[in-house]
Amino acid sequence: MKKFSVLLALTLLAVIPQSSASSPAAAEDFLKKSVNEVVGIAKSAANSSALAESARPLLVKITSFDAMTRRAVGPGWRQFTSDQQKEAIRLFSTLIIRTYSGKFTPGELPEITYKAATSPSPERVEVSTTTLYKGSRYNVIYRLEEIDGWRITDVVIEGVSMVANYRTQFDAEFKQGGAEAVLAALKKSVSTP
Amino acid sequence: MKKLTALLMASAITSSCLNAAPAGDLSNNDIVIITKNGVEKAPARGAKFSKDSNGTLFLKSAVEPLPSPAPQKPVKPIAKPVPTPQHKAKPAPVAKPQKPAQKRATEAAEPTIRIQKKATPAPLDDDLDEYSHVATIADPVEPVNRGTFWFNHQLYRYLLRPFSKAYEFVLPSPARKAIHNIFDNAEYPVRVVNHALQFEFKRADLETRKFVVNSVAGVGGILRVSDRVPELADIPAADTGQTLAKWGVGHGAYVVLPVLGPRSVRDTVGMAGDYALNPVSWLVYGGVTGATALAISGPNAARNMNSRMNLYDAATRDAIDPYIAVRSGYIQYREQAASK
Repeated sequence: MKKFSVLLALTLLAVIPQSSASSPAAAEDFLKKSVNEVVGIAKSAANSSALAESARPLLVKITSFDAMTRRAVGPGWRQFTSDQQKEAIRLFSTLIIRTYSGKFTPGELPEITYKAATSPSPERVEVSTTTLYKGSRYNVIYRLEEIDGWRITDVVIEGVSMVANYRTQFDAEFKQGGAEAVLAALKKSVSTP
Repeated sequence: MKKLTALLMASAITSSCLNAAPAGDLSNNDIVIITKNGVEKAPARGAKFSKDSNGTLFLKSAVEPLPSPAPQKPVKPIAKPVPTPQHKAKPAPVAKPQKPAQKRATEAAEPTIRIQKKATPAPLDDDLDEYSHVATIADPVEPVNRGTFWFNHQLYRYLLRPFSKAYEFVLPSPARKAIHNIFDNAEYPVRVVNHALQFEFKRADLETRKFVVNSVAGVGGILRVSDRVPELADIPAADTGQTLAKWGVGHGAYVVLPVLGPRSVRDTVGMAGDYALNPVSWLVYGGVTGATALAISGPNAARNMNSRMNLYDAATRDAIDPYIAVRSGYIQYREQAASK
């Protein structure tokens, strides 16, 4: 019986941390930690392009660029070849990191207030925040999903979803010239400083 | 017996006409003999029939009803239908259903009993799912709008952005913040009237308290003291376009106004309402003229332009198509404002 109790206790110990790790609170903790790390890097960066460079490894770790690119391209994604998909993810991640870094001006750091996280569906969590930056107040929602741990999959600023905004643009390109047109447009945007 | 053979041959021909399996496969088929005594079954080959048999022979497959078609595997949902005139993406290729004639022939050749398995739903496709709904707006005059957008872009680039940069350069951040706060506080009537028109009386009350706190404790609105009071820190904004939305007025078409930028027809009307409710306009129309009017409206125009330039830059920088990026951003933003 003793052996059984020990086994039961061990099983519970193994299960409890796992269940709490998939809760909205865990996602919120992950987000807070990640954002703090990004802000920490932003503090020391000289300019936004240096920030993009130094924040890249961290952003790649905390963001699912695969899911972001797939959803930004939308239904046309299935018609991309495997190589085209990889290329699209590479280009889109570069663009997103640059966009994100461009929003920060070195020396001016955001004040972020976190609200309670919500879960619109299993394995998905939305964390609403109020971000005070350069004297203006913004409502920013971070969308997270459990893909090999928590990953950011979209950022919604004042109701404008970054992924949805890109999807309307990619959709127009895809209708005109398919995957090639999407990749060409992405390359053009990435190469434009 | 001759009659029997003839009938057998006729059945075999019919079966092959229906593109069925070769005649050799008939060995698997039963023959049904309909007699006065009822229905009897016999194998197609090697069956022995009594000479006095007057029964008419049919292939089992010819007399038994075809098995009902197997349930079609549900097609993976690719995207929720987005009710948008601009969303014309081709749906992913879906396997064409088999032609009925072919299906019939195939089933005639294999008249085995099929156990219909309960169709299991395909796993939820996660390409778009719940985030697939994106607010859109009709853009019937897109070529004209694109022309105005291009004009505005040049105006922003060569005239307004340098001015905006100069404003940021000349005035330090605290001063800009103070100017922003003063005019934002002065726009109280726009917010309170629209909260009331939206029947949001609690918000109108909170807005009034915020105005009093900032005007008195914040020295005429220079300091936004209300931010320190949790319930006053995050009151949803209200404007006339939003009020019209809550009254059920649709967006109408998308228009790009010269200098002012993107609007829906509804929000253009709303903008006129906001202008009428803004005390800065009252001063200009209330007999204040010349240098005084400029001194009052100038900083307000500069701060509006400054924040507009920042928004414009954020929306168009790194865009694939800046025109679509601004249109999508505008409509998503307004949808969110109307839903609060």
